[in-house]
Amino acid sequence: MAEKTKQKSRQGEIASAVSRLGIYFILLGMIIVSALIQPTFLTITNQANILRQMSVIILIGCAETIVIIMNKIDLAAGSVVALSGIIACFTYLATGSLFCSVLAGMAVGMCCGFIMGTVITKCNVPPFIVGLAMMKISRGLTLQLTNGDNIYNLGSFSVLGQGTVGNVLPIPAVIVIVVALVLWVVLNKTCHGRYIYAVGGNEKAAAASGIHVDKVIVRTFMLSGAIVGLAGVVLMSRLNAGMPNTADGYEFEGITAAIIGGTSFLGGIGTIQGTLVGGLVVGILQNIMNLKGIESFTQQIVKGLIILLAVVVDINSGRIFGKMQKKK
Amino acid sequence: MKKVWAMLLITVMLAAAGCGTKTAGQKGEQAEGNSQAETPETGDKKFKVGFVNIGKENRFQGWIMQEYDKKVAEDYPDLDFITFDSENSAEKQIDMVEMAMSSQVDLILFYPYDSNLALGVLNNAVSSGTPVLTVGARMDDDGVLPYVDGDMYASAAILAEYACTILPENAKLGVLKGTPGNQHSEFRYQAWIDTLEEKRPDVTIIDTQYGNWMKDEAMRYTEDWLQIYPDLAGVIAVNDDMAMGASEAGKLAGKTEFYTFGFDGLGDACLAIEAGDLTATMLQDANALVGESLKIIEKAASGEDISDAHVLVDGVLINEENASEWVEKHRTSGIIE
Repeated sequence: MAEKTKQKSRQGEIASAVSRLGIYFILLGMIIVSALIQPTFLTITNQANILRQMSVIILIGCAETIVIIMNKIDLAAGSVVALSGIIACFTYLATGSLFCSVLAGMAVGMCCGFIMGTVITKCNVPPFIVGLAMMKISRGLTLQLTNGDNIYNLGSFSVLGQGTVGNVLPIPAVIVIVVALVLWVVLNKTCHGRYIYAVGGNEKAAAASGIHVDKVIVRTFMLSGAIVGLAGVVLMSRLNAGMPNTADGYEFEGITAAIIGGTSFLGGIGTIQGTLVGGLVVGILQNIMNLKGIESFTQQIVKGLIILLAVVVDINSGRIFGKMQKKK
Repeated sequence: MKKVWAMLLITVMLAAAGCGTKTAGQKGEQAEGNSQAETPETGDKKFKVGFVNIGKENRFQGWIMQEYDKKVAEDYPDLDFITFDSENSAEKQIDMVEMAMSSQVDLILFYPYDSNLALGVLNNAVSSGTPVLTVGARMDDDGVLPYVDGDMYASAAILAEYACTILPENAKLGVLKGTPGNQHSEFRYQAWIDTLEEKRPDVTIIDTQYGNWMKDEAMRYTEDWLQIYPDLAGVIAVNDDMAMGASEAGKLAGKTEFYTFGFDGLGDACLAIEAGDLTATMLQDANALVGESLKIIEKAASGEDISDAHVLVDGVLINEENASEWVEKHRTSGIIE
């Protein structure tokens, strides 16, 4: 009897591990398949390309992760990326300082996050609506400030988005690693991180246990906004131009990375490392389809199907494994 | 308290509407001071033109609108020019045409996002007595509606012919189109393909993708193409932003010789050609498009029939030989600050 109980407990642990690690197996599987069907996939330059191309999306994904864990959502990320990036470009033209322009971009993102968090908490407006409103406002502001035209002649502003470390690792990838580490520490080693999970899991219970829910929400949106602002600076730097109409729909790409990585729309569940992996899954998929010359319409269909498959497998992997063990 | 907030919100919205610009972009809104306005001296009714554009987010559109603002203010004081912003949506253009009709404009000036979608509603306008003039592109109606357009095919063919004289032998090129169904994108693309097939059959097109007119998508496609084809000679793009995106990708890959061809002749493209970052582009002369369309509108205002007005405006090839000249022109006109 004790033996059976021990066995069941071990099976449960294994099932739980499979469930948690499902997305990593998916990523590994994609890397193996891609390397087999396309020899140039595993080259250093191609891997650097994937990291460079996905950096902005993964940054947005990280920003969305902490918001979604809290059972909220940010639909304005793409437009705030554009606004922050434009402000960063203007700052660079005015000061010649990359540092100041990064700070300016992040400050704009943080302000947008503050506004959204405050409206959600003080005015009880659903995050979906606040996000839609901020999307329109920030995009309109971006177009107004630039008159719809690009900002160019940015000199060495492009080093942040186009430079490398040791001639191999793209600087945007380094930024992603740093941001991911910071967020991992926040989520796992700080009180604020625990509060984010608590609020996302059950807001009323969190409030009852003494957590100042409104403050947590506002601060998290501000942190998320700062990361989105940074993403804007990286994007415009990569493009070597301030482009007011770019980043359209990027919030959905970021949300996709977060969800594939295991963040739950129901709140209370999600990890930064999962989002990193989710972003890489999307990036590798896009990359291998381009390398194989698959036409854009077909790419969209395949992308949607693979994303669906990845999430279904991830969600159900623990349950399937558990059932397989029972049959034995 | 809720009522106070509601009253405050309504007051702010009314104030914002009252301070409104020339643009009318929302259903039910009327642009300020533009309804049946009278010239101070003569008391005559101004000829009201409703300009349904693609949207200011479109960069070439921004140039077009700048030219209209300038020319109407300087040379056509008897025109009452209202802009209906379609916010980069083909579907919204239909709404904007209907809105222009309900605003009782005397003429609809239409810049098509799609060459078919709004045809029905434009024909309705004509049937109900409101003349329509398309500018910047034609509708897919065999020239029934009057237009002022650049000859996209002929212009792109000039650019392609120039490319044929400078591309290395057996060059491999990638192609970036705009958005599916866009007439300008298709004409430009076809001109390239036909010219290359005729004059340079040795050139190989390795892939064709829709870059959606966007620089970041162009960068991504070009970066990936360069993985498969490290000897990729260059990229043909149907607009300047995508060409410059391809050029950035080429630079990042360390390509010292990388041929990139755009279209539109925008300010930053001319600067890029001057700096050696872009090979060539074709100017879509917004100045000429606007000028010719206003001449036709003036005829309509004086009661003439404009249904046979079909004007094609020539493009201008911009390469390293004349890029500086066009940079200066763009500076003078304020396109480059």
